[in-house]
Amino acid sequence: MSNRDREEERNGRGRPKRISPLADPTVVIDYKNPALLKYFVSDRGKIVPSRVSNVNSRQQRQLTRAIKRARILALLAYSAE
Amino acid sequence: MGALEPSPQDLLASSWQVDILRPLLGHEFFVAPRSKGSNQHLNTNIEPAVVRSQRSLRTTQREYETVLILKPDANKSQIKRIVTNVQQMFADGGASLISADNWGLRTLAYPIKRNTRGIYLYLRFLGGSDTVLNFEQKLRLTETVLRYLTVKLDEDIDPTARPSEVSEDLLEAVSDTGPDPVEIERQRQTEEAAKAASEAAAAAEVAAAEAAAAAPAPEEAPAKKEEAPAKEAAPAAAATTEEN
Repeated sequence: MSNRDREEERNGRGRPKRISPLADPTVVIDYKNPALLKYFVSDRGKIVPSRVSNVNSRQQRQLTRAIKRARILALLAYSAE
Repeated sequence: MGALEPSPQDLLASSWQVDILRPLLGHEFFVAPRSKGSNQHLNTNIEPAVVRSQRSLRTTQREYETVLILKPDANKSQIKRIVTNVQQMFADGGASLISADNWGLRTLAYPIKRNTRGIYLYLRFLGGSDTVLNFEQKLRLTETVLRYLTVKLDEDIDPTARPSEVSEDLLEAVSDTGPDPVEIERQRQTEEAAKAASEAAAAAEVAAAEAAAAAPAPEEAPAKKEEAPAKEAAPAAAATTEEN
């Protein structure tokens, strides 16, 4: 994943600089793209709140819908230990 | 309806008749302006109005997509039968299959009916809500189908403006399931590990040869030996990354 590669860039303070994959305007939020949705899901499979991921509310709604659809199709897990 | 259908003037003889006939008239319906008193205006001032009832919306064409998860052991002929059956069903019901794709055998995020893997089929079609109803009913009765999800993509479309991509070749390609990408990834990793191990062994050999050669000829010979395997390894590594 290119997102993971970007995470490894350090911004001088030792913390990885995280760039949202949604910063790219060509990216479409779609349930058929689990690689994108995984970024907005916690390790346990929970949907990350928008105050954490800094996603605007419109995109958060689209993400929520897409993640729930992807879960139905077993592209994403409902929960993970 | 058709040739026997009475003219709008006949239909509008009285308002209770209009109400009764409303569902039969469907999408386009002649509505006269309502006024109390004489009925003279009925024959003169008739203008068409579109009635957006549930019934009329049922036959409007929409674009849908459906993702199916099939059992991992579904073979080529089974998949082809499902797709051709669906295509036939759509054609009978006035709908049309416009695109199909096979995402291959994938590992599921959680087991469905004790299956840890499934074959993903993707279908796109034009039709009304009754098409979806019949389609999903059929899928529920098909044992090979583990799960399905239908999503509406677009509303009020013109079916003639969207040509079908479905051909014999496409159907053939759709029924062919490739190997699981997760399996490919695992295989690639084991291959890479094996390669790294053999490279390490080769490097150790070179180092040993170097040590042996160091005593009689200390300058040029070992340097050449080191360069040769490095050149060989580089294009091989590039080839593996391209494949994946």
